[in-house]
Amino acid sequence: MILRFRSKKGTLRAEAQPTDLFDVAFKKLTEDLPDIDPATITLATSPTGKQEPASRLLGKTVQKLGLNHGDMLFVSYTDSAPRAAVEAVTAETAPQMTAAHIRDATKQLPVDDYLEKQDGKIKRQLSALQQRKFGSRGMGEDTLPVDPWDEEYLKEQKIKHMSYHAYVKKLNSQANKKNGGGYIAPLNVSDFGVSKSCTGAHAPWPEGICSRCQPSAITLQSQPFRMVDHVEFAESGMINSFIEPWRQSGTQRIGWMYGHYEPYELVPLGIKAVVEAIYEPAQSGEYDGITITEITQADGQPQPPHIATAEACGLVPLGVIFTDLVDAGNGDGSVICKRHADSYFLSSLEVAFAGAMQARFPNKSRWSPTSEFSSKFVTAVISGNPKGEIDVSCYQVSEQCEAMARADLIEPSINPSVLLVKEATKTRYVPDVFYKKNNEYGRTVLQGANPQLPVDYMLVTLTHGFPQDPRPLFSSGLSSFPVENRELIGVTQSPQALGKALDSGSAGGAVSNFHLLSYIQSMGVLSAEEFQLLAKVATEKKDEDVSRLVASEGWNNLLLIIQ
Amino acid sequence: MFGGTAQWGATPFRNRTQKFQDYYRCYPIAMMPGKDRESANYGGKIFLPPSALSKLSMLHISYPMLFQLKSEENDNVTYGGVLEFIAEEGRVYLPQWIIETLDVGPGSLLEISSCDLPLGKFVKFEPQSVDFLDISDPRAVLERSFQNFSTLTVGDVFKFSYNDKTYGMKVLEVKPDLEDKHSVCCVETDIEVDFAPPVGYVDPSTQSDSNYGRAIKTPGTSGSSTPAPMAAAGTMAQSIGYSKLAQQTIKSASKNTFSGGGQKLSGKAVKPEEEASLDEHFKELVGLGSTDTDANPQPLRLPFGQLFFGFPLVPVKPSEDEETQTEEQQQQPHFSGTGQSLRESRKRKERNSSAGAAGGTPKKPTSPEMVVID
Repeated sequence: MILRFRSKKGTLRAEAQPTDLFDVAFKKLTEDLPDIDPATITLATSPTGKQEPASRLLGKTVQKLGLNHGDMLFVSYTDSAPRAAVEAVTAETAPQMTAAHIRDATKQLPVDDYLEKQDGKIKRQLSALQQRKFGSRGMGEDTLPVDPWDEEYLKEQKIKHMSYHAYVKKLNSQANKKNGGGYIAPLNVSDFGVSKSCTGAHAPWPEGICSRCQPSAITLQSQPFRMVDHVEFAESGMINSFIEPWRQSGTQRIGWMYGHYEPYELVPLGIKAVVEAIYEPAQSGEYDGITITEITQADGQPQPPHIATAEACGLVPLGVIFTDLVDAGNGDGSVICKRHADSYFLSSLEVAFAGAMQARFPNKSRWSPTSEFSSKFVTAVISGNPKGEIDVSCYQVSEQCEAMARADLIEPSINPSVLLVKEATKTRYVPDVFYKKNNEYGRTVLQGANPQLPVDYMLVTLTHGFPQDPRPLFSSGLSSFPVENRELIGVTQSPQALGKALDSGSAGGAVSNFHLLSYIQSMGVLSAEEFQLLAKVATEKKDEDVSRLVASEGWNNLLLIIQ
Repeated sequence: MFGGTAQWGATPFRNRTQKFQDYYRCYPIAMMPGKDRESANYGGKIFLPPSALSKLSMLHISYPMLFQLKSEENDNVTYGGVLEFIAEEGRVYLPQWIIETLDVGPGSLLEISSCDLPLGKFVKFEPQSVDFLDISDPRAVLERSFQNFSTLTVGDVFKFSYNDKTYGMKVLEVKPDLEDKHSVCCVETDIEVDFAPPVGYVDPSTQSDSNYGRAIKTPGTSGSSTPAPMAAAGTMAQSIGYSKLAQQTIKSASKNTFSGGGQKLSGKAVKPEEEASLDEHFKELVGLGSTDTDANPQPLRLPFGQLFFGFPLVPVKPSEDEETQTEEQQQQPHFSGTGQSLRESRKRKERNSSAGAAGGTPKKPTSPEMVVID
């Protein structure tokens, strides 16, 4: 016979024979209420009747309890924990997760903290005439200090995108100036996936969907800001050394850029990425492509040494750099210009790659509701410029593109200037994607991705340069130790090479080379603290550290191995 | 001593007793009774009747036996060797390409005479389709197929088969090039071979290599900064099957939904439409915005961590700088100059377009532009 249990949640039917113990039906009830402690469940025969704790009813047969076919029992219980909080991870009601809390608690990069403290307004030089008119601190219309996000000013200075901090300040000034008390996170993190935690009255995706949890249509726009404005290579020889494998073998090369961030004066509230070292991971390069075996064959391999080395030296991963060079056949070292306004700057495959890499290295931000916003990861390409010279171009992918990559909506196509929007499947909800286009009549219209998308909307360009007065962190020079993974041109790292490098130069100077440090790290001879000490010697070159290092056991083991 | 059948048409300068000459009706090998002789169709040797054998054995003929095949209808001439003497009397069976080269139909009259050809030293070929570039070892393939050939004549378009595919090959030039014959013997001799760009191969204007993995790049000239000769040009394009993906795209866009072969009553083969050159269509896809094409490009699905750069090259347009333009024009003095127009109002524009990337490789001479009389 069937017994019915009515609770806050709904009505549950349970099968039980008159001669069965009540436990059978009760078990079904507890299964239906998994979060509830069974000891708190009470049952009554009428909605207002006396509630009996369920434990009292267990152990008796259904017949004995006087229950007939179709009887309704009213269940009540106490919730052990508020279920809403368990489900909703990003609920704004939960006290720890308010935007204001995130703003105060999130740890950002030091450069971000430094730039936030400044107001970023650009003081304009007053001409002599203006000085006479307005006084030395004139605040007339033409001479008011300019906001860092002012489009006119940026256009004048030929800055294509405002800096990230300028953008934040702009949004803050608009969003939060009126709310004296409340604070709304100014940054909006795009999320194009189906919201998994929709608390509507439907089963979660993919069984059910409602208009609240499905992502709305996406309109692509070029990103008005950029997270990093400039890339500076600590010494120009670094690029030269990176191109060397191409010069000798004709195959392309890829490397991870490591360094740190600093404020960049030429852009209001700008950030520059200072590249101190380029680590070349295990890779298989070809004339027309590169396979990063460090990634594609990562299973079962030990962690590559550059991650630990960079951490020890206080460097962060800044981005990726790769070559796309084809000799022009003129014998003078000129290369073909493949990437230009009429073809493509970054192919759709590279855009997808950059989007995925940027998603791996998110930028910590106080101003975002999720404590992260976009990324500072940069993609640099070494290719030919229209004059045929070897030149560097640096790009980032827009925050919208990162979100699309995370939601698995886009994929590259064989046409490099076009991305394809993937088709919707049972497990992937694909919203409509639109972008603005000048159609044949010269009007700007919203065009739907059908499923092609031009790649240009996703890109942000950065400037790059070399310092006038180079002061690289790693001072031992680029040729003091062979670079890793260059077996294809006959360059190998070996204990002998290490010994040779250590003999040359002073102790501190000799080890100040990222590739050397990575090699030592990969040897695994030094302990973590000793390696930390070694990195300190390499970067700070203090004598007391040198003596401590020389005295350490690991270091002496290392020297033994080299002999 | 003399052959029994009439031997007409001999020129006064040739001694009949030393030369074999006869008329036959020609038929394609496909029409030969007996089992299929497909492989013979891709050779350069013909089938003669046994009477020819008896005639030949009575004359002093130098080996290898080479024949001049001359059509009585249109005076086209080509040369070939002989495979077997098993044809019916009065008939000669020829490979299909010889029939096409002579531009005759089955049953037309041919004059076959023995001849002497010098041993070949050099020959220049033009593959008739870009598929030839897909062959991994053209030298071996050609050596093999030339076992079936005795002669190479300028203007011949012979076909050979490799891996179930036929390839057409046109002979552009031979050395030694005799005035009246333009043909050489290629039996038991070392021949130097040169290739012209295949038909339908569009050279990416100034550069000598293509980024698909087809052309083998010529080594750069000396200079420490040029890369060493690449043995693996475009390997990734081949390994990911890029050209196949591209062809799928083009096929989906092309209007050739009704493809297939056809038959002609005259017995000549219908040439299938050459597949449009990859470069032409594909360059259009690159560089344009997304929505201007009908075809949807195929997705490029590579494992994460693999980057591919071998997209079709779109050369950069030269800058609008006046100086550089005139400089380039001075380097290329061919076929420039003004033209005459009947209309006074229009001026002839200079037609020297894109010289490509900087580096300014001197362009190969192009065929003269058509003169348009407005």
